[in-house]
Amino acid sequence: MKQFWIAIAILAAIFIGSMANTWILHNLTTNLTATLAQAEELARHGDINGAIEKTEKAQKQWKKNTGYLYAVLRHAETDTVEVLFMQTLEYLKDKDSAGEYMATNQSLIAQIKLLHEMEELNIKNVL
Amino acid sequence: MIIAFLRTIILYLVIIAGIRLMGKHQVGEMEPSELVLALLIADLAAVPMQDFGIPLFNGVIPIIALICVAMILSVLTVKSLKIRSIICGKPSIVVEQGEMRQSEMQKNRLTIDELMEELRLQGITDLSRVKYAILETSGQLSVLLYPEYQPVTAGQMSLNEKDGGLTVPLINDGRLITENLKRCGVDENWLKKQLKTRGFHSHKEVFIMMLDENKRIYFAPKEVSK
Repeated sequence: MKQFWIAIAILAAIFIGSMANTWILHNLTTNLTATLAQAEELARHGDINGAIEKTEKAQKQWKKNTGYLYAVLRHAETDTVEVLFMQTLEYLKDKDSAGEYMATNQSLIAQIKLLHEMEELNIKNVL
Repeated sequence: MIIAFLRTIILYLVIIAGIRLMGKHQVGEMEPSELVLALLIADLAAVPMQDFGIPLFNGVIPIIALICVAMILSVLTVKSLKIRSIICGKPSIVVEQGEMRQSEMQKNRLTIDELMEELRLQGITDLSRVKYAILETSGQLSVLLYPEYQPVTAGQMSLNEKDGGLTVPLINDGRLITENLKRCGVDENWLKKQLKTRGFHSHKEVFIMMLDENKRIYFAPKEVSK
């Protein structure tokens, strides 16, 4: 019977851990997408330096969590976000690439949102 | 490359731990739930081992979860007969009083050829000698012959055969197993004497030496390589 309860406890721990992971991802992706949306708004109003600052802040926050993200997410998804961060910053620094910046920033936001959606507990993901 | 190496070692250790927790069943003797578990574990471990883009956790967590579920099911099957019959199935009597039970055979999708093959493997060619043949949940066939066809035992012949008891190795490929010496109630001096009477000086020269409860010795020296 001891083995039974140990197994139940491990399963419960895995379930709680998985839920905690979803919650952490939700918080992280919400913060990142909000910062990137703010950067886009600043760029729209011509404050390029402010937009760069916000995007770099988001990138810093992303890099801070890279180890954790690589351990829990498919590496292809995290690599895509890294590449999109670099592209977004490059387009932002180039004054003639405003359109490309907007498109890449939207891709980046969508990709980050996907990271959380992939781990969300819902019927769509289970099926 | 180092990642592949480390991942392989980690996943291999996890699988070994899982298989050990499953018990000492061999593949041919597995219950259906155990076979499914073994297949799933192998598959789950292989994917992150080959694809470095998949986090190791994606392989390890499902394996741990599977082992836990298997452990829960095994405890439940011990506690409840109903759950046991659902998960492991029930043994089926396919031959009763020398007659085949066709409905049971159909239910288990057991053909006459397969039944006869299983019987032949157990040295039985005449179905009328079989009192019962039971298809076990592991897929093996247990056969009970009519008493007149069962092998005669020492007890039936009123023979007083000495029981040698458990035979344990004292020397295994030149290595001395001191734990077994104690278990058999002998010591190294006794062993040295036994080796000397056989013309050997060290246990390193012996391939295998076994001793039973009646102090009967099985001895085989190491072959001298040319």
